[in-house]
Amino acid sequence: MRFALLLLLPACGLGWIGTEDDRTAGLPTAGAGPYKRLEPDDLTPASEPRFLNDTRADVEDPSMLAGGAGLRVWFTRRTDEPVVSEIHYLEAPSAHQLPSVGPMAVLDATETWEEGVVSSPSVTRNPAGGLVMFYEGGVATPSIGRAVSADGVSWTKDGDPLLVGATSPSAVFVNGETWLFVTRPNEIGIWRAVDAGSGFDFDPAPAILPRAGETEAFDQLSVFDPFALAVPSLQPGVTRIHLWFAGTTEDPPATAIGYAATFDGLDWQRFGGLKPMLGADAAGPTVILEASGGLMLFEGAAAGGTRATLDAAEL
Amino acid sequence: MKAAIAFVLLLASPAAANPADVIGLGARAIAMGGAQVASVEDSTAGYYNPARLASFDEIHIDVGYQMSVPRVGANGETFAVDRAEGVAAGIAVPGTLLGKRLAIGASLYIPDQQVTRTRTLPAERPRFLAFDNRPQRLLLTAAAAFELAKGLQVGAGVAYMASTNGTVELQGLVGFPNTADSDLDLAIDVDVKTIRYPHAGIAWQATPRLLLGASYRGGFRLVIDQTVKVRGDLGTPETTVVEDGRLDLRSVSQDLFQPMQLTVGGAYKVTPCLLVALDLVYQRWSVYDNPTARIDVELDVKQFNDLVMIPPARIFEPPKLRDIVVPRAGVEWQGAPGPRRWIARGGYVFERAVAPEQKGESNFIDNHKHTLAAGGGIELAGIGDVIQKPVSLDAFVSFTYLQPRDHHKLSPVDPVGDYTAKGHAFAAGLMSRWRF
Repeated sequence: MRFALLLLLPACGLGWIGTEDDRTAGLPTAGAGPYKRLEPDDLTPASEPRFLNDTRADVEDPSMLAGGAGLRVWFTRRTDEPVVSEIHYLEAPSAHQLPSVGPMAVLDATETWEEGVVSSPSVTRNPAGGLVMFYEGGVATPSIGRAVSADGVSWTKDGDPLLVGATSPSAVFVNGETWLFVTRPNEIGIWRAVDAGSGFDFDPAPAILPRAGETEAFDQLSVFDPFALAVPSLQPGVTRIHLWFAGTTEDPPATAIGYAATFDGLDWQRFGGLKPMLGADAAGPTVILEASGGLMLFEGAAAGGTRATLDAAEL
Repeated sequence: MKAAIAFVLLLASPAAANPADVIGLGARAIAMGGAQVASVEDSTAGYYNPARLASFDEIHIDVGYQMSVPRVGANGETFAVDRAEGVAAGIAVPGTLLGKRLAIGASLYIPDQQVTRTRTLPAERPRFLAFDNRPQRLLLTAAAAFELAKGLQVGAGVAYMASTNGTVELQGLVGFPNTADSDLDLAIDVDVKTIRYPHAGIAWQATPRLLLGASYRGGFRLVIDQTVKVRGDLGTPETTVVEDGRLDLRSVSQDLFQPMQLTVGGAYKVTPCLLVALDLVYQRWSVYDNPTARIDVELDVKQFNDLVMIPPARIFEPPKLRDIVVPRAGVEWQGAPGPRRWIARGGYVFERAVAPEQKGESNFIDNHKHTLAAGGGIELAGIGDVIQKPVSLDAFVSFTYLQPRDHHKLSPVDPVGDYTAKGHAFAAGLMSRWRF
């Protein structure tokens, strides 16, 4: 019957099999960018591009995975009075929907070295099963800690920090090694630290440096807030490491999100020339890649205020 | 009116069409895998081998409908590639001159939505060479054939295609900073020209059972040349900021391409009921040019010229397609002659991918393609007293399988990244054949 319709309907001038107007639908993309903030949509409950707004706290440093109700997001919730910095969690069907689970606190400061502060979660699937979170703790000596979880809500911490003197971690697992991309107090750039089984060691040089000599570069002054994704290439044993990061300029002062990638962790190439992948007051990226697109959550700013919010953009 | 027609052709709206060089022309031919250079016996000879027109004893008129539905994609996602559907028709009129057989014929494929469609894509955008644009055009061939000696025929003809060149001119005031102040006169001058390419063939009845044939089909490339010119002042109706400003934008792109094709083949009657046919088609893809539009921009805003930086035109890598030889095989079984004769057909085609693995910025996707076709028909000795010559109704289905192919990118920041391209295409159609 279906076959008969296939033959007959076009003969009548009727298109049974629709043709799409969007000629870019379904095209493969590596997901580098450029990204565009979600357009406001009156038909959805969300206030696009805003994904999460907390009038009593800054919400920042998102880390996102696909799963659960659709999106699983861990982020820092920070208040000034009292000074509290915790890691919270939510699930939402999409960036156009309100959270269906949470937000709820899932990790607070309990270890001495954390000095009452945990922040900047980087959650990824643990090769050993379940989830693993790398997070920042400490004030005087910021360090990177680790916790594991089966459900993303209940976390079990390692007792001691894994990497001392580092902030804003983002972790990927590559060929049996753990790579952490971090920033370092009193050091310029985004650094890689590799754990091949005997603890983390920093590379001798940063992976990404600000382009001080390029006055038009979006990252002319500083780079920070790395977010890394390891995506196996079709070539056996070769992994493409995506790295989105925030960059700033001095004049005019601006923060934007850029992109670089590597196959080996050492030779980094940037995409987009001097331009960012998402401009105008955006930092702290986290990305989910799909075959024909990508979704980015990032730190924005509530209109008319100074509170940090979580906003969404898509490729 | 001229401009209106041209704009229909220029717009990249969805269309459906299917030229013969992608899936074939006519139900009998497609069912036999397109192995027709020797075995063709209907009006589609005007396309497959015009020499065969001179072998006809009767006037042939064929009308049918065919469609192809590609479903291709990469990394599990399906590309938005249009289906192709339209009317296939042909006529062949035999006669004699100085005691020698001769004939004229024409073949036509008319897409049922638009006459032709052209589309220029950004350089990096992935597209399937065989399905994205190549099927979207009108086909019209006209040919004549002559019998040189008994059993030896030659034929030649011309195929037509539309080409578009145009200029859009805007003159007047360009509102600045408020564009609503703009007051521009519009002039459009677009030409829809024909381009022609030749085709020719020869057929030889080598033995009572063996027929040999060869054909040549010229290649062509359709170049779209469009220019936009803006002349005038920049500012407000009261205050002119720039006097006699100028913007010229010219876009030149190769939008349709057909490779030159040489075909040799034979048809052998194994038994009076069973015919086998084999063609080998050489396709010259190596001259294919990068279809991405070359855009030249010239801007003259007088005292502000120093503030405007127009990036230099990009230089695109040649796509480096390769020439291929396509084997086509077909078989036809015909029942015993009578008031009703049943016919069954089958065919197979293998087309090597013409594009190399896409490691750089371009994404000209092509895969090895295997096509299996089948068809059948019924031939009536006539219809009452009205039509006393044979009338046939043929149908076909074909399935093309695109062998999955990986593309590994050399650059870690390639915007498309690695992908596996694969897909299939389904085609079906009917054709009625009338003889007078």
